[in-house]
Amino acid sequence: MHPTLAGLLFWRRKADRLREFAETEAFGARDLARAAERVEDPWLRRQLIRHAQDEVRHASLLGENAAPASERALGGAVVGDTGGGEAGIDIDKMGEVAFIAFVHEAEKRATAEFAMHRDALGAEGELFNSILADEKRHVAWTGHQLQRWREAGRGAEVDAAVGRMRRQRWMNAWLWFARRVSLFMSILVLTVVFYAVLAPFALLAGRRPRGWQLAPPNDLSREF
Amino acid sequence: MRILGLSGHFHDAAAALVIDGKLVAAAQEERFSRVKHDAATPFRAAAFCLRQAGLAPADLDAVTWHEKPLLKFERILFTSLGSFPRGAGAFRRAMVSMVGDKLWVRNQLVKGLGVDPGKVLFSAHHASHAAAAFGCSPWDDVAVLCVDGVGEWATTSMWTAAPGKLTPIHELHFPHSLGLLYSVFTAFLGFTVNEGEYKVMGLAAFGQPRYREQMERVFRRQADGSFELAMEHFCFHYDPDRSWTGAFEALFGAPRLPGGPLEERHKDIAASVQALTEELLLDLARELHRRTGKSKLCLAGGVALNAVSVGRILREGPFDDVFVMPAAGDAGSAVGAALLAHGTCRDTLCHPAWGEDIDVAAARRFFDDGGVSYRDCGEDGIASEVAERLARGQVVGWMQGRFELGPRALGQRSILCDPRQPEAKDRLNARIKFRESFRPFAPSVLAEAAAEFFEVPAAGSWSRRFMTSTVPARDDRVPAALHVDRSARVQEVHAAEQPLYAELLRRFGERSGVACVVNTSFNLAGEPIVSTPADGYATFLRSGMDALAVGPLLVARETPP
Repeated sequence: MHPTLAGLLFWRRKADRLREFAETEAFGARDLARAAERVEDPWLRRQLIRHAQDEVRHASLLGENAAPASERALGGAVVGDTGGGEAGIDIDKMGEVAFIAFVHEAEKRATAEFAMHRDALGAEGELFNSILADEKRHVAWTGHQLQRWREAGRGAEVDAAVGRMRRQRWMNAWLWFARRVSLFMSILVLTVVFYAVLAPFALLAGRRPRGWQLAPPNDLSREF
Repeated sequence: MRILGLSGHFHDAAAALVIDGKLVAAAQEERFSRVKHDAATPFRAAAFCLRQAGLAPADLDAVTWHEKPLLKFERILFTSLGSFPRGAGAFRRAMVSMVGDKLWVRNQLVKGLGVDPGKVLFSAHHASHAAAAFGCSPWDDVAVLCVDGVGEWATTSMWTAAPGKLTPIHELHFPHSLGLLYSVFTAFLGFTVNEGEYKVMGLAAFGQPRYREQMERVFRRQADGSFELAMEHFCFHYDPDRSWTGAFEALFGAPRLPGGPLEERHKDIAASVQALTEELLLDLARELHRRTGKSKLCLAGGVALNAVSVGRILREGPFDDVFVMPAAGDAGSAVGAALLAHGTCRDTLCHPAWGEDIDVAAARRFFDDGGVSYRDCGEDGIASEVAERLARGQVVGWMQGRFELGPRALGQRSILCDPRQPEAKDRLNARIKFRESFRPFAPSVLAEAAAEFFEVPAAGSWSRRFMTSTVPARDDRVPAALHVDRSARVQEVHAAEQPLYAELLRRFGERSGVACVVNTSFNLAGEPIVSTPADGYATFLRSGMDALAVGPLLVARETPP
């Protein structure tokens, strides 16, 4: 039987989503392992490494399930760059409290999202059950760590970090909107500048000489 | 004199510290940020260099940036205006990027590093490349050829160099660029620019140069070694999203979509652009030799990382010997900027390990607290243990000492396997590194045993420490380390500079009869090479490697965490 377009799109969407989840989990493992290297507290280090190990297992499970979906959608698995060089969450920049607060909030959101996918996919959503159990444990341990810091007298720092992370989604949405507006404005202004103001200078720009040229002197004190 | 050289704002940002004429530390920003080819101002790499030397920013005598931002701005502005009215898109993007960020390097360095504004210096980009190539070479009197995409205006430049004296001869200007031509074909063949050029080089061996005639129509060579792009085929100078025109597609057909199937046509196009690159570099080398009469050549710039071309210059070129430093691209220009500010001094590069060291105590703590099973094989036992595993057909992640400068793993952060198994190549591509099946792997071989497996000429021996040229294989004893054309990008390992890696090769040779291993970079597709034990462990978990050696510690897959 020939696959329908709707069928192909369904499998394509499913494959893409599963692969996105797999990549997120894999990048998470990388960031958590690096964080484990930075922290001083042995208990926290242990949790971070175990969490990283869980994320690798999830990435593997999700990737394995993405492969057959991809096969049905595209007729072949995709090999090549995964985009794994993206910036992740960085304990060096954030500090350990903000890092754990971020992980805590992200795990809570992931738990809700995975539960939704499990319910939506019916029998095929079984895969998410084992992942969900781990995600709940991740929410618990990060929550416990935040509580440990509160009890150690760092309550204000923890509350501020958690508040920041909760606001971050809205802040990100606002920043996204602000960037779009500023991009639009800059395109408008620069286009006007290019066509209206700089047009006469285009005649002066002319063509550059071809062939071998003499190199200008390299005075290190000058930016030109 | 303590001089920090910095490069960035295009790709492969890096920092290098030179103290009293000696290179002390050098690293790429990507190893710290984990963003492949990270172009950001390299503050983390700079912090590492200072940490390595126990210095504070105030202790520096100068900080040298690898290019002149105002000249670069001039080029971008002139190019946009020169292609009026089509250059609006390039103009807008350049303005946002330059005026919003990249033009203010001095301010960024003053603010980010806390150095005095008067200590910030700027070297021309090709001068930085040339200084790096000469400064890291083993010779005192050389000709230098720099070929890259573009710096400020220069895309190709010729120099002579001696201690204290770097003399420019001539240069070619943007948009006539061999590096950009190669990048256009990289994008046309569906690969990422500044990342996929290696893939085009690897793919070329599978094709035939059937597009030579078309190549000659987009690229005009002159008798004096110079060249021009026929600009009606290109739009990279005015279109920020596309680099070729309809006239280009009329010659070469439709572009390949990223991830799409690789047809014979794509392989032939790759073979054609590779052949053209090799011949053009040979022409340039001959012209430079004619003008200078020097017997030694140093090659620099991103195009110098084209190991197949370097191999041809060594075999067919007019110079007695050729040197290419391991970070010939923009990362190495940080080294050059520092050496140049030190009066064009020379400090021969004997080994590649200038990055951050492994903290074995921290690694042990990491594994202990994480419940990861490992075995301490001791400094003396790890080479033997890994050699034994390689001989049994295992794939091992190998992390030892300070990480490498440049894009190649050279036995400090490598994935290793037995080169005698032909199927190892497919296993490494598909199950360990998750990359395209046509990508070749390179061998590391004991320097004294190299001639046993490969046709290694006396020339180029210094460069072969850094895997920067290809040579033909003598036979099929190490099939997994050979490309489809039976060539190999060999790394010769010297016990004096890399004693532990040499010991591993020696032990493996005792067990297998070949003192040679397949050596590929310790990363997954699209990621930077690992730097710390945690990076290595996370990558080990996500790949199909059998074991991981971190200093003397060995984590094996059969004892899962």
